[in-house]
Amino acid sequence: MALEGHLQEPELSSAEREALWSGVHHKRRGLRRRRRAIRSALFVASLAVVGVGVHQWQAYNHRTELAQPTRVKLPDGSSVVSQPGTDLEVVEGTPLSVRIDLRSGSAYFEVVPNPDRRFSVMLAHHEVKVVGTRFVVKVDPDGNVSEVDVSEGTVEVLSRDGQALLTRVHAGGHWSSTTPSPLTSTTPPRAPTASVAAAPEAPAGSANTSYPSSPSAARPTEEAQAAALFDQATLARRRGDYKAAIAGYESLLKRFPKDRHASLAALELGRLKRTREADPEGAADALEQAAKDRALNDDALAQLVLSYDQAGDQKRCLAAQSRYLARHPKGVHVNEVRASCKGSPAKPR
Amino acid sequence: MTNTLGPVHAKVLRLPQPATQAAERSLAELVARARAGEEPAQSELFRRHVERVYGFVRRLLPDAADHDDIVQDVFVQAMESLHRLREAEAFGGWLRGIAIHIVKNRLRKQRLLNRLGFRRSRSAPPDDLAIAELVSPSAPPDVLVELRAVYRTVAKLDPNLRTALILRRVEGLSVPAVAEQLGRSLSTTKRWLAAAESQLELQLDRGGDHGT
Repeated sequence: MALEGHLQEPELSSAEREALWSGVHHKRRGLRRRRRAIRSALFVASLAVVGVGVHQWQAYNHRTELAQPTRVKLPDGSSVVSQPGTDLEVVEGTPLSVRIDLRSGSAYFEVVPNPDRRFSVMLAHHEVKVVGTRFVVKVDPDGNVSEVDVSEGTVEVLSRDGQALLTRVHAGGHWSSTTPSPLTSTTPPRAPTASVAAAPEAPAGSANTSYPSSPSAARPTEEAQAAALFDQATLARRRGDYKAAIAGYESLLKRFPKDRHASLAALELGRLKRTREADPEGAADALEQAAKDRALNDDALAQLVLSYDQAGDQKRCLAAQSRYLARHPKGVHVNEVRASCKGSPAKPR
Repeated sequence: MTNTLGPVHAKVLRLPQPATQAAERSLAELVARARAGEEPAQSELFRRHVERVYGFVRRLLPDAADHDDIVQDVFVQAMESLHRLREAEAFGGWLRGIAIHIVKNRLRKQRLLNRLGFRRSRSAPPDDLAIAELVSPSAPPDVLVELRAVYRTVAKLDPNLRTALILRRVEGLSVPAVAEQLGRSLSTTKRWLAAAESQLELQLDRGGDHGT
């Protein structure tokens, strides 16, 4: 049963809309009042511990000029191992936000997971945002080229103003500010050569340590590359850049046909080719591939029927229709599939 | 349940008057302006999306008596956390995500209160009238029969399975799209849907709209 065609959205009068908006407005004002009250209470409470707190964070507001790598534990439990000569500063340290300016040099971060706190490493032109993970950030002496290697979890690289998400780097992945984005490059992106200093021994103590050994110095795994490519294509699809999305999904299928994202990419590619490019033949190829995945079979076969219907290929449409009805007699798209293959080429639905 | 949209408050702000300038702006620009605190942009975003959100909330909880309240909460949360929206074009889907979150929290709270004995009402499927209001009058009868079966099934499911099944069966989202909307992995979503679909099968075998 596909209800899309039958759903009925409510029609609100302008008075009803105004009443609703008015409610939104009043609730927001109430919310702000409550927040102010809580903040005041917290401020009073924090006065008691502020001496300790400020001292704790300020202890790290320095530039490392020691000859040895230094490990410093931050008050939230996260830790940073910075290499000699690294220029970094904790510019903001609150329970809700930690911001570290890394101007040059390199540092290894172990961030304690905390979904309520934003942990960011600010670079000259980018923001590296993390929730809970281990990663290395390296900035060349003049601050122009930045690199990120992730050994655990995922980090997001954003524009410095935090407005645009450029990429996600998954465990084993590498990002450099000189690496073109997978969707804007003209050739399929290759795994960039890791240029982070080789990771020596694991830290032996709380100070005088070097980077723990991690897979970060290795090339990103194929899985991480495929996942990044999939994320990029999906982001492009969501913002309506269908050409970039199609290029991304196609690139993923070509380079990583056996990856676990491949069947999903094939389904999205088929759907986009059918609805956005009016290319039912191209769509059918991708959808046949997606249909091999059991979980996606229902959606892929239904899209296949619509593709052949759209192409006016009644013979193949009927064959696909029988396949669908035999396999999914109570499927989600059964009505839509039954209504297809009537002969004349259908418009993309 | 009734489909009334709540009383019109006597004291009403005049914000959603179609501001001609705002009405012509692109979604990306509206989101950027709303994020910067411009009220005309915020009200225009509300005006463009409120009916879709209202319809979605009604389909998630057809029997709720306070759809107005839920829809307002969705927009309150959206306006307060606009800075977290990364892709302006994803605004509509993001609103749906917020609605799902709010509805699931409500359902969880209701279940907890039921378990603790603070509420006597048990979750019952919505009445036929409430279901009929979700689809256009020209919808064929078999659509209504299946829709009734879906809502009879979800009345017995936990909030996660319930939401997954409605997104899949009523909203018609693909399995990956359901996973994306719920913010869960594909495998978890598949597991939830398989459990919910087997309950639905039982309901359909029983004749769809009979018995709970």
